[in-house]
Amino acid sequence: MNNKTANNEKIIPYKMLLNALSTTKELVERILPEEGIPSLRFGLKAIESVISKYIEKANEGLPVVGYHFSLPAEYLKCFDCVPVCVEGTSYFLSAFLEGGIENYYDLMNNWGHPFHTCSSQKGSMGMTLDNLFKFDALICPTAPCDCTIASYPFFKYNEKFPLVLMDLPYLHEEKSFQYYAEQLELGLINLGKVIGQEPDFKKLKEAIEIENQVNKVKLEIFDLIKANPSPIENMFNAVSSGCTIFIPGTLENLSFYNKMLEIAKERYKKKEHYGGEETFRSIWPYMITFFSVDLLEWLDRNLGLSVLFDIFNYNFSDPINTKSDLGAMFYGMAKKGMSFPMVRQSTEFFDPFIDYCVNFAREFSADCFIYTQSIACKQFGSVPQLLREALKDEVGIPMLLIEFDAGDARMTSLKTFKDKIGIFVQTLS
Amino acid sequence: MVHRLELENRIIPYKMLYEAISSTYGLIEGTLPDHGIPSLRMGLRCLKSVMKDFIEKAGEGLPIIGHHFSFPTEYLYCFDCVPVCIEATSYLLAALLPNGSEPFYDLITNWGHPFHTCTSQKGTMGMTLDNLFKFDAIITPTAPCDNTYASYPFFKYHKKIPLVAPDLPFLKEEKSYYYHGEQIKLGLEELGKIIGQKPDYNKMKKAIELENQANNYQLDLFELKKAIPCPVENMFNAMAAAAAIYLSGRSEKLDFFHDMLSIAKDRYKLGRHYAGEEKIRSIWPYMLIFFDLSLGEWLDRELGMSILFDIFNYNFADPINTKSDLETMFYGMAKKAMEAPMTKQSAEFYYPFLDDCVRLAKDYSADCFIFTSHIGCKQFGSVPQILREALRDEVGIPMLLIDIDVGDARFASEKIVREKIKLFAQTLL
Repeated sequence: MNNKTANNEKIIPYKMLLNALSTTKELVERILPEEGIPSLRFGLKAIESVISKYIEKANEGLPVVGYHFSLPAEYLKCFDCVPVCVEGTSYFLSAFLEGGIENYYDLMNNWGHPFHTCSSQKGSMGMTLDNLFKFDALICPTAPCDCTIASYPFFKYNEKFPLVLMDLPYLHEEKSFQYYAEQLELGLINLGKVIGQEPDFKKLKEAIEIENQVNKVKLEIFDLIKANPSPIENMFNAVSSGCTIFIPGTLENLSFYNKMLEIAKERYKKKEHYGGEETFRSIWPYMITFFSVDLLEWLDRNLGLSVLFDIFNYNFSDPINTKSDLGAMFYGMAKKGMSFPMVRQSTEFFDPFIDYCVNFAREFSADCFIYTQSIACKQFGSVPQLLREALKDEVGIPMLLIEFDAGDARMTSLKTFKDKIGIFVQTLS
Repeated sequence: MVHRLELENRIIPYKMLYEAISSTYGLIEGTLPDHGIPSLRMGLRCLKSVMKDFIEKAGEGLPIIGHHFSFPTEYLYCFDCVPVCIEATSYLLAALLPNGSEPFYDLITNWGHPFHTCTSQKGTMGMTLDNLFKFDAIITPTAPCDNTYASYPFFKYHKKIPLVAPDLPFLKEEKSYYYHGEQIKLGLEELGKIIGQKPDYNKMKKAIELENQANNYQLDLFELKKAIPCPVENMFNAMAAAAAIYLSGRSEKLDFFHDMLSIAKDRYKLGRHYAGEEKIRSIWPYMLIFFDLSLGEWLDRELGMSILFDIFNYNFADPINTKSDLETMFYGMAKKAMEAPMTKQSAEFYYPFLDDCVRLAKDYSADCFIFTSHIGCKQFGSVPQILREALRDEVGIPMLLIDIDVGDARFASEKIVREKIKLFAQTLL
């Protein structure tokens, strides 16, 4: 019993998250009409189911493994473990808790962590400092940004959690994929040693195969978004990010995307747009506001502004070959890992990023881009302005640039966001 | 025929630097007593000579090559060219001009570059936007920070300047040195194609041999700093940092360090400290404050606080083997580049950094550390606080942490910095 209690206390933020998700789900089910925000309804159900299983597993004493969001979580399915996404936890709690998780950012700032670093890490770091997380190990690639590799030493040196690092190269070339594949395999083997398990690559293969199917469904949805009006509501972007980070490799994930695809197809056939008329079509090449996901619903309903996709919803990789040998599978895993949201954008000197943004603008008939520039993300530097110029010159559409902190409303509030976007769309009319 | 002045005007900021250096040098010679701040006097004299040479070479029409400070300048001496260090130019002008480089930071911020990125790049970017620099090509490794590879796209995409980016890996292993050695070679060859020259490795070898000699002097000086009192004045750190960039691979560098070594030896023999009694010995594991060059002198004179060294003055690589084949030389070059200030610290997950700092604190009998936490540097994240704890636990000394922009006085002013250090010093005495 004591052990169970101790285990129970290893992932308190996941319990907070579960409570927050359950409450929101209940509210959504009771208050909204049946067809209201289906992505939120289905997504919350799927995430709730997986998180509650994780909590049960933690209670059973399975090791708690923290991971950086840029490591596809299905790769951890080769272990009997409770995977905890460091960044996802911060931002999902900031979305669903009243007042977000500002107190944990402050805790971390007061400890001595710079105020201008990424809140996605700072939230979970603050929770760990407050003993709400007790990781058995953490695993993290050396990407996509300085905040990653400079925040994780806190876990290693201050909290004394074993940390496994996998070197992720900057260049995207054949040899880089091979190199990273090797790093992934070594990383998983090292992690296994830390938690006292041998990686079970058959289980890993099964999880990857589910994700291959998910990827296919996601691509179909992505294609449907080209339609005018877009058959997907804005909220899908936030929930889909959550699913991508928290529940990959699970049947719940597949079920979520299948349901969303059905709805999108129905709407497409009927040329129906969610939340009234689609007046403008926007692409958010970077992040949405995690501290207030209701902004998305407000944009749909009040401005008729579709958020076609954000950074977590336009990065797709080839399906991973699981039918050949292990080497081929790890190669595919490396390719996927290096094409993951933000990792893909933060390398290769931004050539491809600017290029495909211009292509997206055309293919998806976007009226504008909205670029949310996080104070923590130095890795985009001069790129937003270059992108703005490219969009103006190549496609003739404008880009709104908003300075913010994706997880902390105190830098740029919801009101400021609404005001800025409200004024911006007036220039599009 | 292109006018000589027009050719010279491709590097107007170097002409500004030349003027600023000449005026400061004139003032020092005319105002200070004979023994006053010898490092500044000798350093400025050498810098003046080099700047003059660069301007003359620009006038002759040699190509202007911009480079990141972490790409050692002497490697560019395989070409007949004018090397321009992007970061050092911003900060040397910040140090010597009355309002620093602030107008250029504002220019590039107004263009659309984020306010919170590194001023070391922003200054030169602003100057380039203002057409004060006309680069023929730029070379930068993919290190040491996000600011590096996220700011340089400005030069490539907005100013259409050919850009070469040798990949620099995160891990420091044997294979990484070979890889980076190959990348440097490929990078130089690519650069040669752009400027229409074949790299002359014999010329480069000579420059590297000069550097090997200078390195010996630097190591001797470093060793002498263990003495109490420290026989080297604070100003030396700033001048040595400038020398490391601008004088690299040139005889002026040998002169500077040779002469400084003689002075330090004399002071050591006499047990003499520069500018009165040494009361406090501090190590600055990160950067000095470039917008306020006089701070070092003020600390020496007003507080009796020695700055034993900053990040640009405690990183030494092994001499590069120039006697064997080309591959060995490139291997040594890679090792040197990967152990250059900041590049060394921003990789390997900071363990060697913490370890170095604790060891240096002991070896150099430091009373305290002062860490300037620069807003542009996310790559240190949680490290300062971990270092503070390590120093307290392992050595029993405190560390002052100052949030700052080292190139822009508007973030934390000269007055605030001095007050903070003064208060901190009171706790030590």
